[in-house]
Amino acid sequence: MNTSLIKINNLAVSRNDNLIFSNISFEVIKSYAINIFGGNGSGKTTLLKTMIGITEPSNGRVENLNTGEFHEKIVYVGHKSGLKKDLTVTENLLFFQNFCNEGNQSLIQKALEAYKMSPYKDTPIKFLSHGQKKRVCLMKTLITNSLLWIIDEPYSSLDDDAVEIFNSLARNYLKNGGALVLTNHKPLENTFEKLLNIEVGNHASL
Amino acid sequence: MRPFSSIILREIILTKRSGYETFFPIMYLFIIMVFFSISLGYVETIIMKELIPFMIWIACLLICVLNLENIFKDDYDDGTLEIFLMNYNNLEINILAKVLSHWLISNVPIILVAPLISLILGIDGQTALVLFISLAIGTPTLSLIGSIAAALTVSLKKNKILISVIVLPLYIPILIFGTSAVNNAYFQLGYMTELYLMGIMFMIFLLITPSICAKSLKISLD
Repeated sequence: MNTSLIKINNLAVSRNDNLIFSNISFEVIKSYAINIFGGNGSGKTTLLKTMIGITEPSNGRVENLNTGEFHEKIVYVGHKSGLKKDLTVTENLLFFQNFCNEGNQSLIQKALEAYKMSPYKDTPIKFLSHGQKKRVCLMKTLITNSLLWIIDEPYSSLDDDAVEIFNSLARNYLKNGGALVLTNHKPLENTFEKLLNIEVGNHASL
Repeated sequence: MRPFSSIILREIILTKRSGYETFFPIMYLFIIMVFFSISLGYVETIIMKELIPFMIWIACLLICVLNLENIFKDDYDDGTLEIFLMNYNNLEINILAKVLSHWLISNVPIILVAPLISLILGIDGQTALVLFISLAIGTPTLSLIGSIAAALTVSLKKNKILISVIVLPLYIPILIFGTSAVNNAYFQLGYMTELYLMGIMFMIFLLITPSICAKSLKISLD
């Protein structure tokens, strides 16, 4: 059985003739967490956007090794929340679920409980704090049947409690055959059982 | 069809909660009609009647342009567009849902009310019916053309005037066919050719707009 989901081959991205990163090669494998780390402006977000097809690489390729509508099986949580401030937490999650063509509403309830956001389920997003919004964004990972989570800086704005919740849910997801790609400012140690740290941005100063 | 309907439903809820009301376009139409009437007060009533369909059509163009910016801008700002673009296979359907929402919110109230206003102002039933049909065929095309400009300028901060500058010249053929059909109906001449031509333009833009918007949005986000 093929456990590889995405193969990144010799990837390079440049903007206005400035090389952001180059020679990035790795494979996203089921049950593995990949932490892409680097300083500010090193190209972590650009790499994630290239992986999901929003940004075009200037060299190399992103190979989808899975059959079918693979992009529908990826949950991407980016820098921007993708949440509508005038909609409630539940309405935002319900829209995301419907948009992904999935209809299991009990998953929304479970996600609210997992991230301890049940009391805020009918609160419009505009009344939530930054950290609470981040929790709602991370809930998107729990409400669809996905093969891969791609999350840009999941730990930013989160308190210790939320970090522990995310780590424990991610561990459980990886144990059940999911894959995780995340970005961070520094390498992770022992957070996940099968973890690969990849540094980007060492070519940016060239 | 679930993503398609969920986008339309969400747009309608968001519009409602943003303080926008269905009667705003109708009020806008009413104000423009009053402005035209005041500025053309010296014109004889019979000529004024001939001008009413033109006024309604111009009001429709302006109302359509007013809201064009919002088709993709909010989604671009809050990151929803990234999720749209990720789901590249369904992107064109999702774009159509956004355009349809814009049309439902901005233009449908006008399409329903404009013939009634023209009847009140003394236009005959046949002309009012042709006005209704021409608006029903023409305004979706306006939304489709406008969505291309909205997609091209989505990454610009102040894009409202630029959208108007791009879009208004492209609206000229629709304006010509729409007003010509209503004018012909008023003088009891044939108007089907104009309506057919508007129908053809609608079909052409329905086919090409989603893919042009998809490419434009991808370039804007890259």
